[in-house]
This record gives sequence, C-alpha cells and structure tokens, in this order.
Amino acid sequence: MGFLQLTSLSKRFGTFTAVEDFNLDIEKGEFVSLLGPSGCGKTTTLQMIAGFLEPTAGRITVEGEDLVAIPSAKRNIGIVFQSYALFPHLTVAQNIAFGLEMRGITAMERSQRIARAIDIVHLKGFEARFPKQLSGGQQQRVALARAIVIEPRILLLDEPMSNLDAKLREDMQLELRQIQQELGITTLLVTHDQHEAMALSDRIAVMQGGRIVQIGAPYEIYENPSSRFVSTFLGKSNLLPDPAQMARQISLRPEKTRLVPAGQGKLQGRVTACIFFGAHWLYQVDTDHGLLLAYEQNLGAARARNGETVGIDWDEAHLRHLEGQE
Amino acid sequence: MNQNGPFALIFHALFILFMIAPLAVVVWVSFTPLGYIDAPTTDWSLRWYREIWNSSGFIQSFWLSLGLAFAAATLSLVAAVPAALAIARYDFHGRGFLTAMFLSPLMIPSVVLGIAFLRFMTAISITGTFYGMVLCHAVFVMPFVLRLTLASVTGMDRQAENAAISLGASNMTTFRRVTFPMILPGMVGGWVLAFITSFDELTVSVFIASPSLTTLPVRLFNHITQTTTPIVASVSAVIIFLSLAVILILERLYGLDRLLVGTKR
Ligand SMILES: Nc1ncnc2c1ncn2[C@@H]1O[C@H](COP(=O)(O)OP(=O)(O)O)[C@@H](O)[C@H]1O
Ligand SMILES: [Mg+2]
Repeated sequence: MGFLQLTSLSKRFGTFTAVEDFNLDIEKGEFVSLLGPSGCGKTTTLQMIAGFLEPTAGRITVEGEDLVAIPSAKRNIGIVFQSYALFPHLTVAQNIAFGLEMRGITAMERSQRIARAIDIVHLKGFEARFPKQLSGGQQQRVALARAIVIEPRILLLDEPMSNLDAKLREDMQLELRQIQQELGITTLLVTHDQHEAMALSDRIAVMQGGRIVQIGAPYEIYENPSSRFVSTFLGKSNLLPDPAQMARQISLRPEKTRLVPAGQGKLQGRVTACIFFGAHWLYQVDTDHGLLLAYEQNLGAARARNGETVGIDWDEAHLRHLEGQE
Repeated sequence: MNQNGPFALIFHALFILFMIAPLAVVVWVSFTPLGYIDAPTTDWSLRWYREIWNSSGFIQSFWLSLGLAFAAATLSLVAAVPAALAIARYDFHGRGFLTAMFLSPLMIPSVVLGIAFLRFMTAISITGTFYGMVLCHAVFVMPFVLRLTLASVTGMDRQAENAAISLGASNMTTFRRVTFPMILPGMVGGWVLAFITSFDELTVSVFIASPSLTTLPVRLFNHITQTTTPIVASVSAVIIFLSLAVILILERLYGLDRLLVGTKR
C-alpha cells in the first residue's frame, strides 16, 4: 500500500470537470511528477492534496489516514509555489522561521533548524536579506527551505522551475533531486516540462484532460508510450500507419531511425530541413507518410542536404503500436 | 537612469517653478508690516505671525482641522480595509454597486455633497457636532482610501496566504502576519492622501461647519470674504512650513517613495 494514496479523485467547477477519476499511489520517499499540458488539472490535483480545494469525490490518504478531513493548516505538507509566494516583508531567515513559529518550536531549536535548512539550499550569508534583494534562483531556494524546514510528510512542487532561465533550471533540478534524496522526502512535482519530469522523477504520471493516461518510470514510458498523446508529449515521435489495423498508429522515435542512401531502407523521401543541435543533427524528411523526423548523432558533418533524396531505415523492434487514435 | 535631454530639463524646471512660485509669493507677502496685502521689499516684519497668536480663532481651527483629518482618515481606513478585501476577493451580489457607492463622493460635485450632508446631519440631529463632521469627512475621503487599499489588495500575491496556511497558520494569524503587512503600504498611502484631502477640504466643510466648529480652510475663506489682511498669508505660510517639516521628517524616517508610492525597501 502506498504512502500517499489518491483514490478516484475528482474535482468539478460547476459543470466543468477539471480532474476526473484520478488514481495514484506514491511510496514513501518516492519522487513522482504529474506531467501534462497547461490546463489538464495538475494544479487542481495539488491543491486538493494541500487542502486549498475540496475534492468533489474520491479519497486522499496518507499512511491510511484520511487527509480531506484535516484542515490545510494541520496537514503538515510543504509546498513550493510557482510564484514562490515568499513573504515580502520578512527576511530570508524570518520566512524560513514562519512554519517553525507556527509549530511553537523554541527559539533555540528554531535557529538550529533554520541554519541547517539554509545550509542545505546554499544560502549562507543571505539570512538578513529581503526576498526583493534576491535573484529568482535564490528566491526559489528560500521557498524550498521554507517548505522543508518544517519536516513535512509530503513535499508538493507546482512548476517550481518555470520562472528560471534554462541554465539555472538545470542546476536547480540536479540540486532539488539531491536534496530530495538526502532527506528522503516523499515528493510530488507538477510540471509541463518533459525534460524536468524525466530528469527528476522515479515515476511520471502523464495527464491529459484531468486524467492520468500513463504512469511509470521515465524510461519505461518513453520507450513504451501507450497513446499518440504520450508519444508526442513526452519526446518527439513519428507516427506511421499500422498495416495490421487501419485505425491504429505506430510510433517511431526519431533517434531510432537511420539515414541511408536513396533507394535503400524502408522509406524514401526528400530532405526538407537539416538543423544542427550540437549533440545531434535533425533531418526533416518528406515521405509518403508525411514529414518524418530523424536524429543522427553528431559523428561528423551533415549527411544530407536540403532537397536531397534519402532513404530511412529502422529496426522493427523499435516500433511501438499505439492504442486508439488519441 | 537615462540622462535627461535639455528639453526635458527645461520642462521640469518650468513645472517646478509653476508649483513653487505661488507658495513663494504667499510666504513673501506674510512678512509685510503693512495692514494690506503687499510684497515687502525693505521693511520686513513678523507682525502677522504675532497676529495669529493673538487671534485664538485660527489656532483653534488648526487643531480642529488636524483632529478632524486624523479621525476622518482613520475612520474611513477602518471601513475601507474590509470593503477592499470583500470587493477584491469575493464575487458577491451587488459588488459593483458597493464599489460605485464607495467611490461616488469623487463623482458628485462637492456643493451637492455638502448640501446633502447638511440635510442628513439635520435629519439625524448631529448638526454642529464634531462626530457628525468626522462622519461626513470620512465619507468624502473614502474614495482615496479605498482606491489605494484596493490596489494593494488586488496586487497582492494570494499564494502567500496559502503558503502561510500550509505552514500551519490559522486564518487570523495569516491575516495578522501576512495579509496585513503586505497591504500596509497601500493603507498608509491611502490614509495620508485622505488626511491631506480632509485637512484641505473647503466646499463640503462650508456647509457642515458651525461657529464653534470652524475648520481652518473655512475660517480662512470667511476671513477673505470679510477683510483682506495679510493674516491669511501668514497662516498659509505656517501651514507651508509645517508641511515641509512633516515631509522632511517622514523622508528621514521612512522615505517618501515608500509611503506614497508603496515601494518597499
Ligand atoms: N476555481 C476555478 N474555477 C473554474 N475553473 C477552474 C478553477 N481552477 C481551475 N479551473 C480550470 O480547471 C482546469 C485545470 O486547471 P489547473 O489545475 O490549474 O491546470 P494546470 O495546473 O494543469 O495548468 C483549467 O481548465 C482551469 O481553467
Ligand atoms: Mg498549474
């Protein structure tokens, strides 16, 4: 049985259903991401766990204890908001102290725990600053420290990296993962960024229209997408018709293809774009099945030029049969 | 910061001159030794400052105006904060109507408002009382307080409140420790604006003032309609000096930007 269990969870706003029949079990210490496009109900799910929204139906339990009955102030859940939601009138140390004060922890223990949290998020020397005097990345560290210092049962992160620039985001992702593993804290992250979800999570739950459409380890989902939506949302995918069943499609990842001389391979086409990405080349090839993408590892200069006719080849083992049309 | 071009510099200099010149003239005139309005060149005197001291009326009116402005600004702030929270956060029936009503004193001509207040005060027999005047002024300055408070409530990140709650704070504690400090700059700005507006208000006060309760602007106005001695200049000059002193002290203690524009630290 999972540590955090969401069972047939639903949330309706009037007639609009934001989350529907949502089931998820999270083990103690596990890092799970909810991945999905904007508006698919990720934040709504998180807010029901935090207690800011009441579920229309379903159960939320932690170690078997019903969470919905507990007011949000008593749930002992740490949250990092997308906007960080720091208290602008309090210093870094006072921000982090807030949750400890609410728990009536003595000043002595408080300062020890604040010092430790500040140490963990590498903010030594910034204790007396106000949030305004910090960069985006530093503000995010404060938000993280404020959430973990209370030693919460669960850590919830709502698109915590979306306001950081690309380089900083990568650094913070690595750091977040390290902190999470060090503290062994059960974590649920919400994101629309597939790279973030893959880099951080033990398991990813891909959401679409308020439901989970596939759940599993990042590699597992990437290699075996169950639907067209998953195959295109998580990474890129070429969709080919399924010769066995007319209505179905087959997914072929661009990196599983090979460019071969014209006349060879399984498909022929004309190169319409050739883009250099550093680690690999991207070719867009116009074939009988539409535009296909092919990645070639950067082992040398471009293999084909725009307008050139080429063949595309692949191993049958890399083809994935998708369920349904969606 | 960009360097200002010569055109902008000239514009700003003219603008400041335009603002300062009338004040400078008033101060100048206040030092005349003569019995009529005149700008002194050779003879300077504090005669009209001594005259303020001798006529108790102006000093009494000054204290009344100060007390009135203080009470009215505070009262309207106390009413504006819950109103602003409700208007900004809840979509209730009659929300638009409530907002329009609170802001209406800004749209109704002061003369009309003055007559209405007088009728109202007579109807509930509070004419000529200090509390009646406070009530009328509180209504009159409400738009200023509400606008600024509303702006800070709307501009506040509500997630900060959720953050406080998730950290274990009760609703009361959340308001006291998070919401209140976050909207405080707007509240203070609104209060200051209301205070100045009330202290300065003439048209409405003319109707609701009584012989025993004459605010400073009304007394100055009455004085000008009867005689034109330079005492109006010396009284005005005193107010100008006092305002300057207050501004300097506030700037030293808090910084005016923070107070009026609401920028924090
Ligand atoms: N309070 C609300 N009232 C009505 N609809 C809402 C409310 N909150 C969210 N929604 C709707 O629910 C859907 C899911 O929202 P959300 O959970 O914020 O999506 P995500 O975080 O995945 O981008 C959206 O279509 C949104 O418009
Ligand atoms: Mg969201």
